[in-house]
Amino acid sequence: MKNRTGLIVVGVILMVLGGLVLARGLGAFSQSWAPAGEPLVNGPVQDTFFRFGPWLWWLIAIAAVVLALVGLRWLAAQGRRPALSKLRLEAGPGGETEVSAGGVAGAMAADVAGGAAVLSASAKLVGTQRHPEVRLRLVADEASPMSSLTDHLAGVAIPHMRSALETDRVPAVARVTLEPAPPTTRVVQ
Amino acid sequence: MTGADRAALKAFRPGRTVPAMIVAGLLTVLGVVVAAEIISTLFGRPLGWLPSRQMLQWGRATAWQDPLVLIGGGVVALIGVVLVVAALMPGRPRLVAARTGDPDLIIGMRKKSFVGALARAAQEVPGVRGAQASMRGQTVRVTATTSGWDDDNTGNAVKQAVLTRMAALAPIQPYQVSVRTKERA
Repeated sequence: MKNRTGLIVVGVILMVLGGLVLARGLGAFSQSWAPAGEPLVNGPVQDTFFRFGPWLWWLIAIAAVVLALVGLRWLAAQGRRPALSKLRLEAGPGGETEVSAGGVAGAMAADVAGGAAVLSASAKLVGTQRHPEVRLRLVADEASPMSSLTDHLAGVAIPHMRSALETDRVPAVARVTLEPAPPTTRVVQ
Repeated sequence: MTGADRAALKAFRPGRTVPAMIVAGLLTVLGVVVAAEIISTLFGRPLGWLPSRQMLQWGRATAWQDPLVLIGGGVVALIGVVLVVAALMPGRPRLVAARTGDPDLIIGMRKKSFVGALARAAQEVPGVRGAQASMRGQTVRVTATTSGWDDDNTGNAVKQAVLTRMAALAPIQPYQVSVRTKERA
């Protein structure tokens, strides 16, 4: 929930800045130190900019560039997490093995679709090469208990994935659509 | 509630994408405009995107206690409060989180299909001709159309069937079930 953290940080900064402006304008500070009747740009402010010369402006410009970069990065993080394309497995004596993430995800989807409660499934790998995560979309039989799906995922599909990727943890998020199972058709000859 | 349950509920909280995009966009624009204006001025060729001279004059002539400054400070503080509230409110979850007991396995059911599954459980009760369900907050309302015979018992049976299916689907958060029976004319 990085968006929520970012919103809290910006929100608190705005609250503090707005609160300080209000406090000074309403005379909440000592009037000998920060008088409310003083103009926004008074003698000491002008003196400071005069004393530090262009350096202070350079500092403000750098801060503005940093702000713009933070904003851009935050914007870029809003897109969907792209699927991984390749995975590099642990390097062995014969070199390292590179596998197609799409192939691994396809195998995972087939594995998941083999579950008794699952009507269809698709999978993709997201995250980083070191810490891959699985995103599953599946259609499950609404009459099957959730525990049967959980057991199949946690007991079969995810352990297979862990051993295929040679990693201890593969966090998985499954978005499930519940549907009635199609009626089984009997062919009478 | 276990750690796995909390992780699942957190995973399906709204991501607050729209306010985040607005704030991030504004920060970017502010940073670019201020940096461009200052750097161009430092190199002796000001871009003139901001009315710097007028701003300086206004700052020299306006006191902190000026109503405009006070209103500005109030608005800035209020926007800050709105952002913090938006960040702290949990919001409506996008999916119904299911209990898995494993923090590395998070399962969410699409709301519409979860409600549909409950409605179909009600439809399977003898004496029920059709059923509809809707979800509002933590309550699932089921309206069952019956043949009109022994409505009390049918209503109880519908509630039981819906509760049984819900227990099997194992949502982490409890939902209340309210059943209304309607006789079909």
